[in-house]
Amino acid sequence: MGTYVYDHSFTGLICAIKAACIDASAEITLAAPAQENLFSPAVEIASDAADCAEFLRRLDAMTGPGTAENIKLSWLWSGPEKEKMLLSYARMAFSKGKALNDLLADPVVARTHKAAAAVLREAHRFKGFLRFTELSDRTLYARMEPDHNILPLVAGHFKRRMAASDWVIHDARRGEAALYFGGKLRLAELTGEQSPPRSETEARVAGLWRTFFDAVAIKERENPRAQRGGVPLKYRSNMPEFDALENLKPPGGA
Amino acid sequence: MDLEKKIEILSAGAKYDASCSSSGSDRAGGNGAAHQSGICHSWAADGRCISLLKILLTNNCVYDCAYCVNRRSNDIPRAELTPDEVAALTYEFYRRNYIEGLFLSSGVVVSPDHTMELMLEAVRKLRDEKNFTGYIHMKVIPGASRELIDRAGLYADRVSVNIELPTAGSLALLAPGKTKESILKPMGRLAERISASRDERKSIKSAPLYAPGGQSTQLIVGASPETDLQIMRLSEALYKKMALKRVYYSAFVPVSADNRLPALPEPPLKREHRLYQADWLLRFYGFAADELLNEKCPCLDLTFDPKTMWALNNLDKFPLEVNTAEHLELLRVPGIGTVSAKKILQARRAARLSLEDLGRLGVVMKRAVYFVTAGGRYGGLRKNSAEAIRTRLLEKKEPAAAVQPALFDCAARPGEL
Repeated sequence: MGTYVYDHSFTGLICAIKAACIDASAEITLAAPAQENLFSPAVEIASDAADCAEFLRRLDAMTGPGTAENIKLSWLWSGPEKEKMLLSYARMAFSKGKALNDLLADPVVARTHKAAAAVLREAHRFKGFLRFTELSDRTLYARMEPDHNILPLVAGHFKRRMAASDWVIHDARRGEAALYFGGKLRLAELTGEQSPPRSETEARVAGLWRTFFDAVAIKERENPRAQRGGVPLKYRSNMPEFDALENLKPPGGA
Repeated sequence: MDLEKKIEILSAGAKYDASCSSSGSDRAGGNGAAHQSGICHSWAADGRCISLLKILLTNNCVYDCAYCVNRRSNDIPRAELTPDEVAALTYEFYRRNYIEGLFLSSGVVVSPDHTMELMLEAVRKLRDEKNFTGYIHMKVIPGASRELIDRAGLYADRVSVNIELPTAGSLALLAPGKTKESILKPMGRLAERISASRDERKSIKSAPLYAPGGQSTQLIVGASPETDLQIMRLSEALYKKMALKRVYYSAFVPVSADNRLPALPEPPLKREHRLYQADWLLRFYGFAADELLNEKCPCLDLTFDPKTMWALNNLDKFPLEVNTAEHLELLRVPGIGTVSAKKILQARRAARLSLEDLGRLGVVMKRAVYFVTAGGRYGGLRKNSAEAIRTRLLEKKEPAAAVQPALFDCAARPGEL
């Protein structure tokens, strides 16, 4: 019995889940627990990459493929009680085996699948909504504030299609960035507001895009509701086709 | 004329083409890559997705089609882009992730062949000089020679010839420059080439891609008197015989006061929506056009979606037990879509399903409840009749605006004109 404390890394979480799967009463919390619980002493779990990979393989062997992938995706989700959800899901792998991912009506399985789907959905959205700005040295810079930690997924997508350019994708919400220079991709911390100088042609190209965006809409079919369904307001601040005025909150709003 | 003005004119001229899909291709390797499922990059003020830079090479046109904003007799500003401008603009937009690629169409200048050559030069520059491997949708001009048509699919991920109007009679009346043959011929040729290339690539991986995203078409709804039954039969034939990927329906937006055209108070958007729903039923739900509509009732209902209408007319086939029903049967239940049908099949392998479970699988219970049982339990009405279900479904709908029938709405049949 106990509370397993991990270092906030994916590897650490999987190692904690592994330990907690053996101990049926354990819970998982983030590193540095706020206060000691006398009845449930904290156990710090070491991050071990080999251990983590081995455990994920074991889960897939028990349940059939998909479980490890669901856990990896749900890890990027930013909803509440993620650790608890993933622990319950992993424990069910032991009791349900091959049936696990077919139990779509089970609350734990449904919640985990939903979390993974939400991550994939937002990543897909940003594959379309991300906007690059050309900087004076021709590097392309994109800023985003996604709900979930989709940076690793989005970075892989752009690596495939923009292999010959240098670019930066900045998750301003988490202070992280994907840096792609000279054909090498790495993730790094990037905090503070970035406003590097733009290339000379940047304003003109963005202007041409706005012109196109306005011209391609059919006036007689105007439908702001469908437009909001497609691009919710919260995504628009980094998209040049939506002007600043439109993004202002209504008077009286926060 | 500066580039900004040209874009304004030539995108406004292209906007009535409904297709903006960027799916069906996974080309990659140079600058850019296509994405199998397609990606929407923005949504315009009319609520339509923007995936491609949709633009005309020129809006000059030798034809005088009554329904078309670019017709010769229309007094509007004219412009044309050079192939270099098209290639550069696409490339710069793509680098910034504004778009998935290019949708290139054109008015007909000089001749169909001359126009096709200009368009081919633009996409060739984009592919060869910019090494662009993103998505290209290219319109094929009816009447262009076979050699030029054949080249289009070598550059494009998707090709399309617009069928424009559902019958030869309407074409003769409204698009005197085009004939049914001049439209169906290139379509048939493209279908042949696409299918041959697909077969070839199965055995020879290095064989060139030929329009890997397939072929689509578009027709205008509400400019001519055809019924929905005629339109759905046409679509069905196009899917079966030409192996089209998509048929697009474009609600007619009055762009001129031509006396050959109906005076519509507004575009028949609801009808267009129902046609898309029926089209989906043909492609993904195993329905045939003649199951949805018939000579006595040739118009899609504007109040209820076509699947609900079919179910109400076939109540003897319901309620269906979700724990034992076949896949194709499940697909016919209102409130069950392709995704939730699959989930039902998967979930019932692991556990017997209850009515409460169905909601978690994505089934829309407020519609499905009248048509299913789960483990023998039924949650619908005690006295089931089409009329009773209809009333209940209506209660749960938002009060819809009254639908004004207009000339050439499907309800007005040719005989009544």
